Amino acid sequence: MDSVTHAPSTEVLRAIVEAAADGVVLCDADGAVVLVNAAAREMIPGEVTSLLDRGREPGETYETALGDRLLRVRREIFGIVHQAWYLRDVTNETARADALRAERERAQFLVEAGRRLSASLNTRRCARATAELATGLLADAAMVVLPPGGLRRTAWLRSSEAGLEEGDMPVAHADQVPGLAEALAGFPPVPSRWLDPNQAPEWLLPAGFGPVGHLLVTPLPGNGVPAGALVLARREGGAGFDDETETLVRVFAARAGAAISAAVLYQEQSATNAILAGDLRPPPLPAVDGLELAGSLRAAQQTALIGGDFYDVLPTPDGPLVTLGDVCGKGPRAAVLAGQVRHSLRALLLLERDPEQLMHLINKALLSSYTPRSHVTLVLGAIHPGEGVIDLAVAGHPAPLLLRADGVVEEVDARGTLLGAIKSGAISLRTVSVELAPGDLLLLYSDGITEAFGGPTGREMYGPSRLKTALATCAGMPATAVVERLEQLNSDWLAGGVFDDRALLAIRRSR
Amino acid sequence: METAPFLIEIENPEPDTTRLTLSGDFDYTTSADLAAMTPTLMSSGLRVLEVDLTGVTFIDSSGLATLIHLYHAAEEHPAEMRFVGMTPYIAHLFEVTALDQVFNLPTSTA
Repeated sequence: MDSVTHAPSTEVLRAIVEAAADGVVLCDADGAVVLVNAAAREMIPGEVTSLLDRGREPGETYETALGDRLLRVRREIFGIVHQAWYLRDVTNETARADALRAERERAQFLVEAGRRLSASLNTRRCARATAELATGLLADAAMVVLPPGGLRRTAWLRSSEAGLEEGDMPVAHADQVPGLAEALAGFPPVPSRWLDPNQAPEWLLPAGFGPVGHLLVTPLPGNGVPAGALVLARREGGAGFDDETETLVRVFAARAGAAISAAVLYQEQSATNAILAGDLRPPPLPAVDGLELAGSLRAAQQTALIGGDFYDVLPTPDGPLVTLGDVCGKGPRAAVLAGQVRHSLRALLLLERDPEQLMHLINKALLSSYTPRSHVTLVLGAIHPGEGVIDLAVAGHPAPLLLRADGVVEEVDARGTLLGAIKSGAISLRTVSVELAPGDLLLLYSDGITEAFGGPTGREMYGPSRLKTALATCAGMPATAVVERLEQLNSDWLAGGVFDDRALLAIRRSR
Repeated sequence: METAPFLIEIENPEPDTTRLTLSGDFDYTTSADLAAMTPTLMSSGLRVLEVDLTGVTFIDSSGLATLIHLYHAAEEHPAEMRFVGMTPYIAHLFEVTALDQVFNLPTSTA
């Protein structure tokens, strides 16, 4: 069979070029246009040659704007006579790429915002992060106005090219900024185009900022309460806040507001806890002739678990009264109750010094308390310094331990009912007087020591016998060293585990 | 520190008797369970409340307070609350707090 090939005619080639989706413009050696296909004619309604850059290398691609369109152009040379330009309208393609890039930028911004805002529970640092994050992508200057919290002045932080500035202002001045008073009250934001930037007062912006072109004021929503407001300013001549940006600012403000309000709550709570825990701090110990005193008080690590261990050495004309106790429960209520017991003791001590009588009085006071479950365990010891005698009463508390100078450890034989627990008001107490010879030491401790869970399994209680064994190794040591050693051994047992409150108080007769 | 879960079992061996069997760590974090249950335990027919602490591994002051609260609630009801089982650790704890002189304890360990 013959196979016949037909070279296409010029008309056919012309028709093929004419039908191409890309624009094609063909010129001769002198640059005169000899062919413009339909696609090119549609892209370029007017004069064609101004778009054709003869300086480009063959095969090179470049982009050129035509009105609101963007064209991608490639120059090719065929033979020595003809050169062709291939044209493609990439306006939509580019717009999509730009939109995607902007979207990625916004997502990236929110990721970074989330990271920085969650890094702190400090109000000022959260506000600073908010202002700094907002500067750049969102605005030329960003100011965070913190919630006034019922005060007459409120703090602000501002970030711009001028750096970070901070100060405070009368709350009433918020009225001078369009939309700010409303934002501080928690009203939803109004679109930027409704806010007149010319009304922005001078104090709102850093010195030398220049005229404001666009203003956006957004509330920072907290946990049900406004957490302040974010004021964004862009310079005159710059782009305004478009819908995408306003949405982004609202999402950002929600995150920033949550972070700031959490920080505000946290700081209020930790300030309250610090005040309460202050009452549980170990007191300074007085110098008593012939005696060495040493104490140690360690509160549980978590502030919510503030416990109620306490000790005191209260001087009286007849000699000091030592006390170590533990109130039931944890948290602020325990701290308050511990404070009440310590103050009751101080007051009662003006009238009564006998440990047994004091126990009965405190028990009655606790039973008449309005707070349910005001239970306390307590050791009271009235010291007669000259003779080295201590009258001891123990109520619901582990009995103190005696370390004799020769290393023998005895448990003091005193017992008694938990205070504030039995409604009938009847408590039974077995009191005892112990005599300290020179070198003897009396140790008062709380159950946080003996009930420390740890050891090889992590589930074993330290227990009274380990404490006694540890104490026996402390013979001859000064009181301070004994307390330090016992605390060290107890911490080793815990091996970094969670510990309850624990208190130690040692009284040693030095001569 | 991993803690043993606190469990409360309620049985009625006799029509007028309720037996509570507690087990696990009975402390600040778990005692609220029993405290919340206390009013409902005091049903009209209750005469005897038995408390078994054999399975309790740890009691702190909050756990003790809850037992005292339960004791008072039974006293007011009135019903007799008695402990029917406990470990030497808990017996020692009752002794230290002198609750052994208040509570009705089993003679074998008290």
